[in-house]
Parts: sequence; C-alpha cells; structure tokens
Amino acid sequence: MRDDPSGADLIEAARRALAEEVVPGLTGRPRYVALMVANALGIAAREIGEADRLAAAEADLLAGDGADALVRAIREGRRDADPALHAALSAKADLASGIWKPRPSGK
Amino acid sequence: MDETRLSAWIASHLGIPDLRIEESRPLGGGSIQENRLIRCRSGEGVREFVLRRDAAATIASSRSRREEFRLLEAAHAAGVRVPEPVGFCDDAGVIGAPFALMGLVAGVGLGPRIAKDLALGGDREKLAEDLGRELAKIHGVLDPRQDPPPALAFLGPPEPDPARAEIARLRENLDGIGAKRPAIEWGLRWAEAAAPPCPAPALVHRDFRTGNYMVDEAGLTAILDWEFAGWGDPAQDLGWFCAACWRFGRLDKEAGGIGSREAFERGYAAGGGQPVERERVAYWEVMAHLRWAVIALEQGARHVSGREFSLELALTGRMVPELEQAILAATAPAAWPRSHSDA
Repeated sequence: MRDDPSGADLIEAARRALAEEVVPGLTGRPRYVALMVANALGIAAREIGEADRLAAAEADLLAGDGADALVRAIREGRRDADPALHAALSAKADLASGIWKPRPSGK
Repeated sequence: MDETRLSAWIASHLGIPDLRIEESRPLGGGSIQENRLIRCRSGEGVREFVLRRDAAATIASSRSRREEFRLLEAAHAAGVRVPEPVGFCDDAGVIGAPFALMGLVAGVGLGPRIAKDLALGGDREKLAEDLGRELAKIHGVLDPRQDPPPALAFLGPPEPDPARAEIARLRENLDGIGAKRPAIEWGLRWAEAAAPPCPAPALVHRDFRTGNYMVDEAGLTAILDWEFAGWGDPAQDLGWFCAACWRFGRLDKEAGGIGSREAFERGYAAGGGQPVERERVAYWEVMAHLRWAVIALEQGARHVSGREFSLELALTGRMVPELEQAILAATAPAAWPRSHSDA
C-alpha cells in the first residue's frame, strides 16, 4: 500500500507553497528561478498524474513497433499523409502539451 | 577574466594608450553566447562595449565568433541597424577564447518584455515597419550572382534548394542528440514534400525575431545575433519573424507579437524587398516551428547530457509538445501535396 499523500500530491503541494508563499517575497533572479522551479514541479506532478494515459497514447502511436522503426518509416515516405498516424501523433502531442502547460480550467 | 590583458588589447586595437577598463560585468541573455559589458575610460572619455564569446556549450549549427563578426561588419557596411563592430581578437591568450568587441547599444532585447511592455519600442506599427525595412536591407547585403567578398568567403555559394538543405540539417541535428520524435519527423517529411523552390536566394539572418533586436522608448535600436546568418530563402526570415511560436503570447500581433503583418510587409517592400508571397512565408512558418522544436530539444539535451546543469535549458526541452501541436495542426493529411496524399 502506498502512503498518503502520494509523491505526486507532495510535488503539487510543494509547487503551491512555493508559488503562493515564497515567490511573492522575491525579486530579480531568485524570483525568476523560483517561478521556473514552480513550473518544473507542476510539469512533474502532471506527468505522474497522466502516466497511464501517456503510456496508452504512446502504445497507440507505436502500434507494436519501436520509435526507431516509426521514425524511419516516416522519413522514407512510407507514412505520408497517413490519417491514422496523424490522429495518433496529435493525441499524444495534445496530452504532452497539457502536461507542459495546464489547460485553462473548464476543460 | 584577465582584465589587464584585455585592457591592453583594446587600448592597442583602438590606438588609445591610456585606456583602462573601468567596469566589466556579465549581461543577461544568450544561451549560446556569453556577453559582457566592458566600460573603458581614457581621460574624460568613456566608451562602452559588449564583449561576446562562446558560452560553455554551443549548439552545432551556430557559426564561429569570427564568422559572426564578419557578417556583422558586412551588415553594418550595408547600413543595417546593428551594433558597431569594433574589433575581433583571435588570440585565445587574451581572455581564454577568441572574442568579438562591439559598441554597446542602449535598449531592451528581452522578447517577452518587448511583447508585453507597450512603453517600449515607440509606435508598434512603425516598429513593425522599421523591422521589415531592416530585414529587406539584410536581404540586399549580398548579390547572389557574385562571389561574396573575401571576408565572407566561408559562406560559399548559395544552396540550390534551401528548404531541403534545412530539412537535412534538422534531421542531422535530431540524430546528433539521438532524438526520436515522430511528430517532428512527420512535419519534416511534409516540409520535404511541400518544399518550394527558391529562385532568388539572399543573405538571410536566420534568427530574425522578437528577442533578437533591441528597442528603447522611441523604437528600434539594433538587430542582434548574427550567428546563424548565411545564404537562404528570404521567405525563411519573414516566416521566422511571423511564426506564432515567436509572438510571445500576443498571437493577434502576427509580426513578432509586436505589430501587424501588413505593417511589417509594408516596411519590407519600402526597404527594397522582393514582393512577399504569403504562401511561401506560411511554409517557412511551419519550418520555424520545426526548427525551434529541434533547437529546444538540443537545449534540453545539453542539460540531460549532464554537460551543463540548467533548469532553464531543461524546461526548454519540455516545451516541444506545444510546438508539435502547432506543426501537426498545419500539416494535417489534407495539407499534403496531392502526389503524396494518394493513399
């Protein structure tokens, strides 16, 4: 059994404490660095939270082949304008992009 | 840094024997280069310079400091608004590495700040127009039908097919860091299939965007960062400048997040630029996202490799999916040339 709060919860709590309690008291370079740290913690927490969906999107994209084989096939023109590949790539990019930057709430 | 040697070099280069360095401190910015402010005094006279040398790790596709300086000199001679090229020192014995010395230009260069702070840059439509005009001047620095002057011999002849040459370079860069990014590969393959010919190559800056020029309250003060310049398709610079990924959140300001595309194009025409072909520029806007994605991966790899600890570089590496989204949106199956989409 996992202990609570989970690692992801702790990272998110650390991000919030940093952003809400530390950043307002900082200026200049330390403020900039603290904001980057908060940003990095947010990314890490979201990545952990989305681990299952990320793995599913990756599996869907690779369809049993390795990333090497897919890259080679695309470069050699064997997947040109392939709608299924475009859809899988877009699904993965949307998910990963939401990890980089949280989507506006309401989604 | 040994300031005695540097001071002696500057004094001798400028022919001012009593010149002394009064202040020397790092300037912000530049993930590829290190820039320092050097303030010198001779009697009552004060001169301020920027000293530029390579940062700890460089990305493979950037030019040497010496070549960059020669390009700056050529642009300066052609009347492009750039920092004054003061001198270049090949002797690594002076400060530990070759360096370029340029006149300090007043103003702010930080992209996000310029996009946000409307007190900077003067009238924004005029700024967009001025940038267009400067870009046209850059594209006119060299005549593609003639050999470049000896100082720029390293440029060689123009590539016959700049789009495909760029694609080959980006694939090489990806392979160089062992990156497997199917979305970027998809975009590169589309770019290969849709590559436009380049009937009129020109000297292109290749990093002409908000963040690489300086402004004061009144307007544009200088175009910076010549380390990627070379022969290419002039539409590449127009596309890089207008690409959504370089608008710093001001997506409505299609010219670099600071002005309208119309104003930018107006200035480009007024400066003697070839008529703008929007479709060709749109192609290079997709290429801009591809190139920035590859550079972002390279920057991330500098951190991941352990050569250089930097949270900033690490985060840059993680922004790639956002660029991939834009690339995929612009290269949906219907956007492929017909000969490549017949399934």
